[in-house]
Amino acid sequence: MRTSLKKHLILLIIFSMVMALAVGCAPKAEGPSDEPATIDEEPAETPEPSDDEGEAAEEPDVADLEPYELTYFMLCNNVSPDADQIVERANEILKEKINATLDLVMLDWGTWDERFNTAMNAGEKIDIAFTADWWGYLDAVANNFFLPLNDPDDNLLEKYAAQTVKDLGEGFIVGSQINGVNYGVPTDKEFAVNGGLVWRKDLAEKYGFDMQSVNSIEDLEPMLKVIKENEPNIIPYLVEQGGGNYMIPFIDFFKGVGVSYDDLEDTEVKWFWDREDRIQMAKTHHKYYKEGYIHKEAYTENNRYNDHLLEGDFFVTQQPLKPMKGKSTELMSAAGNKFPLDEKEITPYVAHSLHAAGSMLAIPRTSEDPARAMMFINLMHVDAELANLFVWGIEGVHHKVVQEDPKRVAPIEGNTWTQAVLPWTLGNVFNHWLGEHEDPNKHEGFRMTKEAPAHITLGYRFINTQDYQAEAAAYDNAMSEYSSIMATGAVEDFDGTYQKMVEAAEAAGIRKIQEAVQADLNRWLEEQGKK
Amino acid sequence: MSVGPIAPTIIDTKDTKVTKRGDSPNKLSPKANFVLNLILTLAMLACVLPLVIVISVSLSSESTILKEGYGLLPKDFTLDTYKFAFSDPRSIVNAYKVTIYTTIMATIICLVNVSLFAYPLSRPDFKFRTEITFFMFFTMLFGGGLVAYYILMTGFLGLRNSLWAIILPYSFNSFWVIVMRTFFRTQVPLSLIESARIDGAGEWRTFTQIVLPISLPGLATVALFTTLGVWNDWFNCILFIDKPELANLNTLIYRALTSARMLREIIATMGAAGSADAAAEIANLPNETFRMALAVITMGPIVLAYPFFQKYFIRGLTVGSIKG
Repeated sequence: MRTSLKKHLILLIIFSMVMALAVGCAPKAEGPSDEPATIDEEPAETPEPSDDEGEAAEEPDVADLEPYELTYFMLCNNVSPDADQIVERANEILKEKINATLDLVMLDWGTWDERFNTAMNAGEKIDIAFTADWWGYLDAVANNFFLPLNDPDDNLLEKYAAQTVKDLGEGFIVGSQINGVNYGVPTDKEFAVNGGLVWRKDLAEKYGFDMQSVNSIEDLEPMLKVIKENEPNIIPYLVEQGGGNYMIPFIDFFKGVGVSYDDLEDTEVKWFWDREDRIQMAKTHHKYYKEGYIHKEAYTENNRYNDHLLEGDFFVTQQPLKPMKGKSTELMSAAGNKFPLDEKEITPYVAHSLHAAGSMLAIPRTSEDPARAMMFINLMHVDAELANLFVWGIEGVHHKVVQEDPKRVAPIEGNTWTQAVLPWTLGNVFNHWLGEHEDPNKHEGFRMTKEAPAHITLGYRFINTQDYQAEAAAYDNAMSEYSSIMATGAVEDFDGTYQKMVEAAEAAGIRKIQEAVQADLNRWLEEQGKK
Repeated sequence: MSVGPIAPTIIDTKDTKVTKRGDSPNKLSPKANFVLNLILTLAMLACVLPLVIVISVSLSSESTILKEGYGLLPKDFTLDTYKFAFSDPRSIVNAYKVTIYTTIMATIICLVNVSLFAYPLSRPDFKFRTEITFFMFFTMLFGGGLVAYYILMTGFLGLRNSLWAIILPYSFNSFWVIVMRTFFRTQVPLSLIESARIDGAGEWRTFTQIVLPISLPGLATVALFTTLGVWNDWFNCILFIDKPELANLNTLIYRALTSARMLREIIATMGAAGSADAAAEIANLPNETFRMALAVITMGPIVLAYPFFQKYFIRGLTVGSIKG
């Protein structure tokens, strides 16, 4: 018995030594790089850094650049088989401007996490990757995945993307920082988003409703009554199972804990469900549910809110809006212009961190040439040809031009490219051509939001989320039972359920999270000299 | 009491036994029979009904599904979804090619590897069989984890964007080696191998012409499970394959299904205010009927694989349970 065990052990050791030898002999191509900061120290290879603005000075001298392949992890709706054609065209531009070629990795929503996180943990070379506050930005930074871009020693943003920084403006740059460090370059697009109501315009006209006088969901009651009585196939008031409370001016820092944005100076951290306006809205929902204004299936049917939106079988609903009635235009075209919609803004335009970092391109630590990656990001922002190639594909294959000057294009029916890409992740939205049905003033509207007043917390993020993982998980678990019944009002006894929910959340540790966020925010305010 | 009247009674009972032919000693009472049949019928329905619903949804229009919910029969029969799915057939046709190619390759390679590995281990005259079995068994207990696997596949073997990244992981399986070893040991009598040797057959001839033909049930089991495994694989494809034309069927359907779920999760947890752009993209994702149609298209030929393997299947499955 003993001898056989010894034999096993010896064999095992030999086996592992052979394996170690084999791995050691492998070409050292993609080992995890532990020293990312030292990647670009040779000044001969990098273009002259220039601190002054002015495009001529920052344009790198292409002749000095070695050929390089940029690996770009692009977030998409789907993977298009036409990617090769686009890359071929993009390479023509990139070779000329920065002597680089593109290795485009299209990843859809469902596969991103697995692919990106595994590749990063394995130390695979990635030069550019999408990220956003709602898409794991904090976790990625906590895991040390991304390079700091405004490092005083090697300020990539200033060196290679001065024009982009200027176009973006201070709001975007400061708003997307974590403790003063930029880990991503935001897409230049609308800066503030507000919430309001979207409704079926034809129905409102049919019954002569004055929708512009509505300022709260309580004001809707008489209208919902009329719709309920006269339109049996229409859901009078459509609510989202997950929450859908866009009319509450709230900045959520972590797990439903945050501040108000209608008061620009508000620094008192509150739990969402402690807010008077949130409780009031839930009460009204409960009332509407009992009256039948909210359809009975609202909380049982699994996430069909968006299907109803596109089907148009509702009268009114809450939505995050876009300037110049952008939201209703967008929804109408998504639904194939089957029905007319209109919208009204309820909450004010205020700039805060959540929007500033709503879509960014970051440079992972595994990049072998961060300078070139930054040049590419800059090119996406300043080069309209490159950006539009990504957004609209190739003329005659993916889009057709319906109007010159200002250029307007329409996607060609059935092409897989324009449907797959997410234009709001691609550089500078103000450079993108407008679609056939888009509002001609879309860009002016977007520009207007860049002038929105900034909330005092702009640039603040609660980053110590890892220290509160247990509380966060317990909180999610506790709330999963209540969030959809409270959102849709499908409860028997409102006050009792509310009480139970508060108790469950407190047992899970929501107060601890609230205190931690408040303390962290106070520290940040002090550091920034805002308090 | 004479012997006479007794004998006919015996014959009588014998007769009745003969007439009730189905009355085997294992026969169930009618009550138990009914209950068992009921349970099995319910189990069968639980398996079949979802499939019927998937097919029915794929043949309905989205608005009907939204208004009237799911049904066992499509309420308005339409092939629109399938027309849409095949409007750009490149993805699906390519995916079919990739899936069929990788499945066949992996199954063949796996059968060769597993049987060649298991056969020596089943022979008592092979000296190091315990040690080698232990090594193999060791890999079943401990693995290097995902990151090590990823580095091995991409860095060391260089299989990024290669179909071998789907084939190789299925080319060998320790568990099937143990099953096959047990099968060889229990189903192939040692005396048969000995007699083959006496007749002058070498090891290769014994293996290919004597052992393999009588081991078909075991091989069929291994083949079926490998086929199913490769056919249903999406994980390797997602990790190692970026080129759209090399994606397999299940990756297509995985993408269509999880993308919508992922977006909904984001909206629910992050609040659409923070992710307004993302929230709007749900409109551009494949809808319910399309996803179901994709599921139906994906099922395709793999359904046909079952009857093909079935006649060996059950015999092969029980092998693992026999003490080896």
